This record gives sequence, structure tokens and C-alpha cells, in this order.
Amino acid sequence: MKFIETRALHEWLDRLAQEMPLIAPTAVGPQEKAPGSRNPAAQGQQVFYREVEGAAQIAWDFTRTALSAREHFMPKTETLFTIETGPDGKAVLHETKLAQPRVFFGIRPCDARGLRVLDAVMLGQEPADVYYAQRRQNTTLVGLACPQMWEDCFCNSVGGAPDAADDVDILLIQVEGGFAVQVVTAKGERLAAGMGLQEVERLELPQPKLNEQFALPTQQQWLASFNDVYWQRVGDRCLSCRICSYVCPTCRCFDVRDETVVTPQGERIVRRVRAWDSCQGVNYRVQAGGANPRANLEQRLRNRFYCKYYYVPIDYAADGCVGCGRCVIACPVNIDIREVLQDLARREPA
Amino acid sequence: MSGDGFEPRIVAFLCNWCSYAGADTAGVSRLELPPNILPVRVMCSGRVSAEMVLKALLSGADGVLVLGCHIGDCHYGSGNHRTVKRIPLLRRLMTYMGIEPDRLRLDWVSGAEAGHFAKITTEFVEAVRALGPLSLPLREDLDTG
Amino acid sequence: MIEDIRALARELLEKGAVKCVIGYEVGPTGRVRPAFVYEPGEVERLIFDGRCDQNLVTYLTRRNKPRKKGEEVPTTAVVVKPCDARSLRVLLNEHQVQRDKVYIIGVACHGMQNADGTPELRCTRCDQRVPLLYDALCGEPPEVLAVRDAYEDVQQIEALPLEERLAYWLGELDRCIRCYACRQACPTCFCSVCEAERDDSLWVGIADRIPEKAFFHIIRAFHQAGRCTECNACEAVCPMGIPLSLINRKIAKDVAQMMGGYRAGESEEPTPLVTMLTGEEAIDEIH
Repeated sequence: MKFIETRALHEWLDRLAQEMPLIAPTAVGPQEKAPGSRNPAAQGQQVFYREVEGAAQIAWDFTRTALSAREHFMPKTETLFTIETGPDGKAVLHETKLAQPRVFFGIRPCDARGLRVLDAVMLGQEPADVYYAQRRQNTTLVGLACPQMWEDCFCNSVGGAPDAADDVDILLIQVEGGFAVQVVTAKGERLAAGMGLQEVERLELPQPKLNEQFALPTQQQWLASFNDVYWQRVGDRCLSCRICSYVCPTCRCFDVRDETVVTPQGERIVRRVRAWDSCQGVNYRVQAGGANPRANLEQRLRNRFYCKYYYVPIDYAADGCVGCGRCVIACPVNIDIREVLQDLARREPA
Repeated sequence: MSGDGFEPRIVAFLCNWCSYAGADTAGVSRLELPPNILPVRVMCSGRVSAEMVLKALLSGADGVLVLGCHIGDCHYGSGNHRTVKRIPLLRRLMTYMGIEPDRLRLDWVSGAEAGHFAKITTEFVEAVRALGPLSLPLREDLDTG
Repeated sequence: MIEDIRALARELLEKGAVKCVIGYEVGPTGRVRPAFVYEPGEVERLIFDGRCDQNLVTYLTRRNKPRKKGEEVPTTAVVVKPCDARSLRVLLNEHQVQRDKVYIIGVACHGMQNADGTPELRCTRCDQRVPLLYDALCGEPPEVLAVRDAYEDVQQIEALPLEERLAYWLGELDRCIRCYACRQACPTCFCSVCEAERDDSLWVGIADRIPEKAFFHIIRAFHQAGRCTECNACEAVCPMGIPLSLINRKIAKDVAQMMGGYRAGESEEPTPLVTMLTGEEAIDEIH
């Protein structure tokens, strides 16, 4: 079993940040806020995965970040290419610079597992998405196991675990005085070579406290519930905002548009922009001529659950939900995915 | 753009019935007008929405001028009653968000007030010139990391 | 109070006077959330206390449209606090809700509390204990405290130097993820297609950059001028904790100051930004 002392880890991270971009959980936003607010986001600083300059900026005792790791593989907005007017008056196309090698430190096992769905969509079929592929290949994932399942987490009910090493290159588990280190992949081995790991004979690994497990609906139950009035009842409460899909580690819908922008220097350039989109938005499915097969709010809300638990497993053979609990916490009207799953699982198969 | 050679870009929304005619009269009368004005003819100053002002500023204008008929002279009766409430309110909001209020000006120019048009545009261009270019951060995407 | 609401809800549903009662319930994890009750037997779910701070009027605009062409618009009962009633007044003024399709269960309000039990900031500024309009009133109104909203929070920002204000807002708005929860939670944001979501990107594109985000928030706030009742719904749902009410409250303050003390939702007058001059305005001279 490999081990690294806390101080040695910090020193390694500080060195690493000098060499290449280091993404890690860090607290963002003004400190003085409303600690008593009913809105968890307004209580104080929130933790995000962001580029940091060293170990001192890392939020070590975070639960989960406000946004998932997805924003570093499929950014909220990215320019695919720009078109500018060249010196001879002809159009010149500039491709976006591709990603540099980087280390993603402190990713939670559930967030890393969420990348499976993104991989399946962006890389599973030819042609692979070159922007995503570059970011994915150039990133080494150093996971940080959760010491326990946090309130509203349910990874153990959807096949994950708070200390799963399946989807990271290296996994760190906090133990007395430092971290137990599991090097999982060859990519992880290359990075671990510079960590200065100690070899220890025996290491007592903590057993993370788990939340109560619940059963998921079967495929038959999903099929039988599609036209149920239940979705109208859940949809009653839904505001049709996009919080759930934007905080989700496995949501991956995007929109692409060409935009003309004026630079501060007054030049007009055209750029092709890709940005997050959400099936919860009213115009998501609008088709030429104005037809909208998901015009009703409850149809859109229903799609979110079917996408995660029915379509993705069938289409991509991956788990569409990793149980990170972000949507549970962030939904302003308490539409709780666990409650929906348990409601459906209780139904008699038709 | 350096501060010395700075020529402000001004978008001027001119109402069709008075101010655009006023600008026309100024041109026909061979009055000296600043070349910095990009006129946009609108049917009524009441048509000028906050969106139009903001979009102009975000798209590279250094100042926005809104000119309409004098109160009481609106071709549509009371279009400019909305303008006179809306633009000052927007000006206050802009200031609150950190943009100099003097980058937005509302005034009235009738079809006959060619001299007034020349005076307002010259004054406004000089006022914006003194403020310097509007630099709002147009942050590039963090997509190459 | 809770018993009054439940009894009234049961009566309305039993008589068939309304199809649905919108109130509050406690969810399975203990969080208070909007409840939609269709059966008289379910009224025991309804609660009311200091945690019920959501503005349920938001749900009325969508229920005011028939689900299918030709279907009649059902009547809905809704639990309404004094602040929510002002939002409803705005919707009625703007013909977004038919008065005869809404049964207003007014509640005498003792103020809402934060998660830690302290009074919500907006409630410390409020002097209304009874909704301005209701069909039935539940609960005994407490004594009205003599409070006046001095807009101290807005004044604090106003007092900053210009560059610091810009930096403050850019910092706050930079966290926006364009989830549109603020807009969706807002009872008076009712356009069927939002300018920020147009397919032709006429005003603002899809990118999540500062200009787009600033444009969306400034325009959304500006469209609420004379409509925003400062109910705080936008800020309460923001997953990034952006102090959105500071923008709306600035506008509300200026509208009141410049336009004859107009306060949204307190009269049947529509927002002064769409009406003619009355002569009572005190608008800034800006030229």
C-alpha cells in the first residue's frame, strides 16, 4: 500500500502547479454573505473545481462542488473556431488551440464516474469530438475519496461508492497523517512517479459511512409509467429552470451557433460557439415550423428522469446518474430524484 | 486605441418625425457636425428600449444618444412620455452597475432645430471623448486550458 | 392557521369550486416546498409557517392557460402572503391571470424565517401583515411594526466608487450559469419567449460570458421596473448565490423616487413605464 504524508502532498501540489495547470476544489465568491439563508448557495462561499496556484487554495474539507467536473471537459462555453478577415481581405479560419496536459486534483469518485457518460457520447462513435477528446486525454485525474456519504448523496444506490477508484487515474483516501494512494492506471503511474510515495506494509483504510440504499425502478416500471399522471403531479412544482441539468455531472446537451462579435479593437470576427443547453428549456425541442414535441413542462421534466435511467443505459450502456446529489440540493422546489425513483419503484408492474 | 487619438463611437437613435428631420436640416444647412455619430432612425424615441442601448454599448459604442420630439410634440401623442421615464431610469441603473452615466444622453430635437442638433452632438462627443473608450471586459473563453 | 387553511381547502375541493389548491407542504427530507392538492382527502399535507417563503403566484400564469385548445381554464386556489399578493396584483393588472379563475387564500403573515431562525431580511422591511387582496383570510394578523424600507443595501453599493461598482457586479455576475432559475421563479417574468433565449440570438447569444450574462440580468431587471414587488424569489433560487435582488431593488427605489412614489402591486395602476406622464414625476434632468 502506498502512502503520502499531508505535507509532502501539499509540496508536490505546489510544485505541480508551477509545471502545468492544476485544477482542484477551491472556494469561490465573497465570504460575507447570509449564513442563515434558506438558499444554500447564498450562505457563504461555494466550492468549485477551478485552476489553483497551489495547495493553499485547495478546499480540503469540501463535500461536493457546486458544479460538477463536467465544466472542465465540456466547458459552459467554448469557441470551436473563429473566422477573421486576413490581411488580403480573405476570410481566415482559426482553429481553437487544443488542451495542454493538466492535472485534475481532488475529483470525487462520482464526478469521475460521470465522465463515462460524456465519454460514451463524445468519443463512443466516429468521429470523436476532438475538443473533448483532447481535454480528456491530456488530463490526469487524481481522485479524492469521500470520507463518508454526505447528506443527499446516493451513489451507493446507483452502483457507485464514496471511495471507488474505477474512474480515476490515482485515488487518495485520507488516513491518519496523510493519504493512502491507489495508483490505478498507467497515466496515474507516470504522474505518481513524481509524488515521492512511501511504501507501507499495512494501512488501516477507513470505512466510509454509507447512506441507506434504495432500489431503482425496473425497466418494466419505467416503460409502464411513461404516460402516467404522476409526471403531471411532479411537474406541477417544477419551475422549468435548468439548475438540475447544469449542476449534473452527466448532462451533456449543447447548442452550437455562429456569432459575430466585435473585439475591443473594433474588428468583427465570426465565431462558432458551443454552449451548454438543457432539455428543461422550453425551446429545446422546437423544430422548424414551430412544432414542439415537448411543449409541456411535465414532458420536459419526465425526459430528465428517462434520459438518466432509461435512455442512457440502453443507448450507451452506462449509468446515466452517479448519485452525486447536486440536483437534490440545488432544486429550488425540492424535486428530489430519490423520491421520484422510489415512487416509481414502488409501483406494481403493469 | 490610445487616449490621444481616441475618437468616440456614438450610436444616436433619432426619431423619424423630429430628430431625424432635425439632423437632416443640420446637414442641408451645412452646419459642422461631428463625424463620430452613427445615426439609427427609429419611428419614435419611445421605441428605444434598454436592450438597444445596452447592445450598442456592448457592441463597441462608447456612448449612446437618444433624440426625440419635444414632450407634447410626439407624432404619436405620448411615445416620448415613455422615453422620458425609461432613459433616466436606465441611466441610473447603468451608473449603479458601474458605467459612467454620461455615456447615455436623452434630448429633444425638433425638425427645425438644426443648430440644437449640432450643439448636442458636438457636446456629447466631447463629453464621451473626455471619458475615454468604454472598456467592458470581453473575457475570452477559458476553453484552451 | 394551518387548520383554517386545511378546512378551507377541503371545503373548496369538496364543493368543486376549485380544481387544485396550491399551498405548502413538508417534503420527505424535511424541506418545505410548494404543494398541489387535488383531492379533499389530501389537505392534511398542507402546512403554513415561517419556512413557507416561496412565492406561489409564480404558478398561476401557466395554470391560466388551457392545457388543450378549447378546454376551460380551471379555477385554482392559492395560498398568498401579503408580498405574494402584490405579485398577484401585478399579474391581474397586466391581464396575465383571470381574477375569477383564482381563489385567493390570504394568510396573515408573521414574517418568514431564515434557516437559522432569524427573520428574513425582506420581512424586516415589510409593514404588511394582511394581503391587499384575498377571498378568504386565514389567521390573526399580528401587530404591524413601524418599519420603513430605507434601501440600505442599495445605498451601500451606490456609495462605492464607479470602478468598484463595476468590479463588484462583474464578479457577482461572472458566477451566473444562465440556468434562468431567477426568471422562472419570478412571478412577474411571464414572456412566452425570453429575449435571452431567442433562436436567432437577436439580443444575446448562447455563450456564458460576461457580456451575455450582464445583458440578461440588466434587461431582466429592467423589464421588471414597476413590476418587481421585491419578493426576493429570484435571489432565493439562484444556485450561484448572486444577490439579484440588489438590482431589482435599485430599480424599485428609483421608480418610487422618480415616478410619484409608485410601488409595484399596491394599486391597480400598471407600471408607470408604460403610461403617460401625470405631472407628479420627479424625473432626473439628464441633458
